[in-house]
Amino acid sequence: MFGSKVYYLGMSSSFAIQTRALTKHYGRTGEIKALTSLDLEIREGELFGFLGPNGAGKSTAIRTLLGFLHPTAGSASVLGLDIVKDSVEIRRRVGYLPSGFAVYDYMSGREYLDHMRALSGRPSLLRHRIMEALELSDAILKRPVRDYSRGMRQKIGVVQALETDPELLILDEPSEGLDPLMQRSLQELLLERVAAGRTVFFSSHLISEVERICNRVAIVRGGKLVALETVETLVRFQRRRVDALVARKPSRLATLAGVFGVKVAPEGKSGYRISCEAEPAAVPKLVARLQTSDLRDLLIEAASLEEAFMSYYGDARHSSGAVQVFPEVAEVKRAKPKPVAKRPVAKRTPAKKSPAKKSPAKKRSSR
Amino acid sequence: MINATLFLRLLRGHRIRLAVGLSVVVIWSLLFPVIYQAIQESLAENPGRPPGGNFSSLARTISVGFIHPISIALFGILSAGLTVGAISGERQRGTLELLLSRPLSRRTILATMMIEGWIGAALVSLAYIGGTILGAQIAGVTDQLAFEQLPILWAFGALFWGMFATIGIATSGSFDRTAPAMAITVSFIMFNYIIEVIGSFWDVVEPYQYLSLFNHFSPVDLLNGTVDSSSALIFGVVALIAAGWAFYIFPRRDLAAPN
Repeated sequence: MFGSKVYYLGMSSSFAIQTRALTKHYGRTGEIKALTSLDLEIREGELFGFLGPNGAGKSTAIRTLLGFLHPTAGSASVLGLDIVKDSVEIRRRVGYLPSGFAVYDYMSGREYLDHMRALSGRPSLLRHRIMEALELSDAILKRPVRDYSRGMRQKIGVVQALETDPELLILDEPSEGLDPLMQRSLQELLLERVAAGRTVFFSSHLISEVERICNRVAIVRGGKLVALETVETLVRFQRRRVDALVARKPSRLATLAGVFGVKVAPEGKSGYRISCEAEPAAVPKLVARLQTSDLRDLLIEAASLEEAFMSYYGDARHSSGAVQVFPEVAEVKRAKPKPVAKRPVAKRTPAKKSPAKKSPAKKRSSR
Repeated sequence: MINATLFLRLLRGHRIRLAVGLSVVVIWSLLFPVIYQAIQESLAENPGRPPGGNFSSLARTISVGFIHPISIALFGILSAGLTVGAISGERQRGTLELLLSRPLSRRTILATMMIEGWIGAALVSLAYIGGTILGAQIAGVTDQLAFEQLPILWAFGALFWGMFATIGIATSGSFDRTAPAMAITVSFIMFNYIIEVIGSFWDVVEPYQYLSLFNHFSPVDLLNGTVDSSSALIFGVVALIAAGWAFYIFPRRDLAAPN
């Protein structure tokens, strides 16, 4: 899916962010490869998601773009400006929210926001709109920041990043510490900014959030870009989960190309329960094969972005070389719940005969 | 070169330390003319007693106060103490990121923080001289105070402690944590002070006293108008070296995400 890199002849100003083989290695001999040859093009007006677990290189990429880190190799431009030579000018036009946002505890929320706005040298254009969306009142802003909860501090962080209506927003885990309602409000704010012609580049652990609002998404692993696609494309090419009830035991299902993990289990007197995964192109053949076994019920679940994400990390534990092992991803995999339909059922054939006993599949479909 | 908004915020953040510290310096420094007067009265009542050594003149007494360990601690806290945690402290707390996300160059941030240290050094030197004048008035010895030499004493005091403030910002910009920056700065001040003190009574160390920066800071000579102006040059060169290091290293550092 992600095999074709785009090579550029020159940096274009029509891109909000453009990186070319951007590399950041640490250590005396560069033994820690935090970011390796990152090629990204983020168009102006785009809402771009940047995915990867801790240590994948997301924050390194962001910090390099903002001039906190010096690239080891490669080049990048932000809003058409070189990240090394024009770092100050870039920061004049960018709103930034770091992960683990910290504030000056001796200030009130209002003083902090006024101070950060004054340092940015730009007027506050959106403070009231953002405060309204995030349910921040004047009374709250008068209180010292040291009394704020984590979520409240994060809201202050969002306000300081967005209030001057910058051309580009770079947000590192913006939903961190926000409750689901506030996460949704933040997403709406970001969509508003994009509708107003601004560009949003944000990293997140919340894949559902990225899936909901982003146009495109990049997935990084071990400091390398492993996917750069629209969300739709990433999802479209993921394997489908197939769950079927057939009257007769099918033969040679596992030999079908593009079909994986076939499991066949007796389902009382009604037949056999088949579960497997199939690549999109293999689904018609699989269904045809199932129909030869007197297909009674069929559930095909579309993939989610989370599954697409996990497919890029599924083999991380077995990889070697530069690819790191991500225990937290392994943890996610272990804790992954049983599949539930997150998207509309792609295809369902009605049961030919009502089974005497309500099958699990039937139970699921009745929910 | 410096940012006014950042500078005012730094002063605001240190306002309590400055207010309390400067008040303590004023109170501390007014004691020395009073002590001097008390010793002089005691000598007058007991003519057989030997003269008071370091307390034999007001200039000597003020000089003792200027380089007393308590003064060193107070001056250090209000000059180098402001700068040593300036960058490393912001980095440790995670607030440096937001500061750097604004359109400020690292050199501007560094210069602003360094200026605050110099302002602290100038204020603490001024507070000491103000306290001395107040103490001289309380003790009734203003006629023995060389008022015309006080501006030069203030300038040398500010330069001397501004130099340590610059060393503080140089170490602060070199580390991600305040502890190592603090350790190096305090060790440097202590090393210089100890060489000067030990050299004054131990012949073995005496030849090396000139290596101590404290050896070149002599308030009594400043008050008597016999100061060697090369001392100012030494302080200036040391401050320039420290500033040069700070302006070289901080903009080149990789500031990875805080842990």
